[in-house]
Amino acid sequence: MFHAPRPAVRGLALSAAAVLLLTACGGVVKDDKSADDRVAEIPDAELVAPIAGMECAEGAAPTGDPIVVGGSLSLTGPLAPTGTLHDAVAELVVDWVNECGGIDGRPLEWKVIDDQSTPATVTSNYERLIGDKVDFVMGPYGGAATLAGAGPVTRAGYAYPTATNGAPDKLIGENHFPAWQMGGVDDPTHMFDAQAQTLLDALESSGNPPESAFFATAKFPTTLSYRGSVVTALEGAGTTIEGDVEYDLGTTDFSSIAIRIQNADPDLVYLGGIGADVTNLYQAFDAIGYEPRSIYVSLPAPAAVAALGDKADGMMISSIYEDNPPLGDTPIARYFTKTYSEVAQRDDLFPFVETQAAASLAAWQILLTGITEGGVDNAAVIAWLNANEVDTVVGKLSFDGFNNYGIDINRVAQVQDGKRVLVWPEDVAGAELDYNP
Amino acid sequence: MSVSSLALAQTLLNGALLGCLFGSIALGLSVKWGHLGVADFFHLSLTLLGAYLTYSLVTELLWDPFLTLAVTVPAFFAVGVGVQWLFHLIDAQPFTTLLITFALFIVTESVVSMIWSPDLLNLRPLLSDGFTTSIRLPEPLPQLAVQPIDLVALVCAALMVGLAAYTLRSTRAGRAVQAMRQDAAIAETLGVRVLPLTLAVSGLAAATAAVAGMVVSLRMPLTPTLPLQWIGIVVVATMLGGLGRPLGALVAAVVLMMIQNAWSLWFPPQWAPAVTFGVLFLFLALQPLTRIARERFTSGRTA
Repeated sequence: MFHAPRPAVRGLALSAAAVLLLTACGGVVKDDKSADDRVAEIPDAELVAPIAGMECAEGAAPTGDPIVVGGSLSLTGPLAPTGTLHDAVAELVVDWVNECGGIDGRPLEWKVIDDQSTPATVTSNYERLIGDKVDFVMGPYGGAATLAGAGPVTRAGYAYPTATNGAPDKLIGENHFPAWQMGGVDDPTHMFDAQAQTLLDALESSGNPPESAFFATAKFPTTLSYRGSVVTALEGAGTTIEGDVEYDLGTTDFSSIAIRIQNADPDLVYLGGIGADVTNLYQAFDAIGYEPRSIYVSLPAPAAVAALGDKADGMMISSIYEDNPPLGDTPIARYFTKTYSEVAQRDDLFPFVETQAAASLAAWQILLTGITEGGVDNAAVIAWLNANEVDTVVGKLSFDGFNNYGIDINRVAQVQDGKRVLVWPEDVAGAELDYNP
Repeated sequence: MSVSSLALAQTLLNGALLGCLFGSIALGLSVKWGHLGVADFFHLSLTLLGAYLTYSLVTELLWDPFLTLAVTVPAFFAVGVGVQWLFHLIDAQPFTTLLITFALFIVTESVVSMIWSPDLLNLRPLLSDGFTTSIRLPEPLPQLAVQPIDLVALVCAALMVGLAAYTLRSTRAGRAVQAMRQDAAIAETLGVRVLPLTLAVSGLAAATAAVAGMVVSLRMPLTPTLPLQWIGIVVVATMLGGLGRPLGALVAAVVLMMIQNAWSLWFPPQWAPAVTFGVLFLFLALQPLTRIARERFTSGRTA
């Protein structure tokens, strides 16, 4: 005898049917142009010395005691995506120098200790490296880690080159040699003003500066400081701030923020986000069917921007380097771009050079130039770097402002036809800013 | 609908759908905590592993995400059985199981970093438009939209929670689990085979992590530290919903996410996680008052 199914069973059957329906309309599509294809398109490059003024003796194997550079990096924990990138660059540079015959015939060696994304561990890591009598040190990734390592490194009299110190306003000393230079001012309360002015100049260069803006910023020291300067700069230029919210680091659900933005519908969305924030915000936009008129993102993970595909077209991004002329069209930059893509692909990292990888190379160029000019002596290296400029992949750097920040090298990049390109300032731009909200 | 009521409706809808995903993750934790006495933080790591395995199977072998369940569900069932078998072998007390699962939780993050790299992985660019284009609701709410991925989360949550609740309440095996929960020794005396039952419950709980992981891989970019971002909402939902009550955990997760989202619409979003724990605090703080009120009400009726 037939019995009508019970409500619970009916519900389950309906749910199962819905899954099957969704499966039928879902599925997987392959990217028509994958990252692998784009990596393969990077042209081969000739081996050259990694710094200006150094001869590359290809094939001459270095001999003798190695020059050991020690560093603490976040190879695990929340900062690991960027920490491993800096480790990859360090290994690349060491191989590069040794392929060129080493420094004065001596091999270069990299000794890294994982700090597990914990600043307290950074301090003990540098104490350990100094106790092991490494010849030089390389700074860690991130503002908190940089400050945590500064104490033991400075006390021991070591030079302290850093790639991306996110706390530029916290004084370290004359041994600090930052590659990602911001500020170029004497007043530490205005370290982010020049970067904000660069963004404003870029927007005004389009002839269509935004009349309204909405700010959504992660609670992270660098993003909050930068946001403050940009708000001041835009308000000064007459832009109406329609909204200004902060969110917790690691937020994955942006639906409420997306709805707030949709209601305000500003000319410019400023996302002071790091990591995957931009992906999650766009997912929230997708859910409500909203497309921002224009968007600027301060510190996105490169992979997060790339994964947005066509949606990222027109997005503006804070940057100090993109692979475009003139900065990307030097023999050193071309060799770095090619070798980095291979190393990064091997290590499952984003395979194209942008701010982090370029800053990492620049920090090594600062240290290598100092060693080449001053010898294997930290005091001599510190003295030479404080008195001279250094040619790096991100431009010519000097160390004569507050906290040894000589100039501000922050630039504006834009995604155009699926590729990131510097659009401002004009002297490093590879294309014009396309901005018309 | 006015803009503000529309915005509220949309944000509540989004919160409810995301709550379904967290409810799916909380399901396994709730069942193991409530019925086996194991506060299994490793369950969150299994969800992450499920997401990464789905990612690899889809990107490397171009499998349909749903097809990956044919591999991950049995594999995770075996892992769940294995972990519970280990607890049985060492006669682990609840505190020991907590320590072990927490250690596995930490270790898994490093293992995932080593295997898949700590960099961001995102399945979304590989998905067809059917998965990523939002759908407008039918009349009378055409202004509201949902993502197909969130509907997948809803359906998976409904299926798994529905099956779990039905099994626990209405089947012989479910009643055996409930009896075992109340007193394992007496249940065994009455013919309940406790060890096979605990192994099966643990395996099934782990299998739900495979399904939840599949949804996670479709829903959000993957990083090894994702479980740290889920742990608050999942644990609070598990406790608010009542340990061992699948439907309770799902409803709690949905309500919590709706509250968080509604809060973020008008108030500073950075306080939204604090709201979740505030709800838990209120719930726990009001427990004695609720009990006293219930007792007085009961004694008043019997007097």
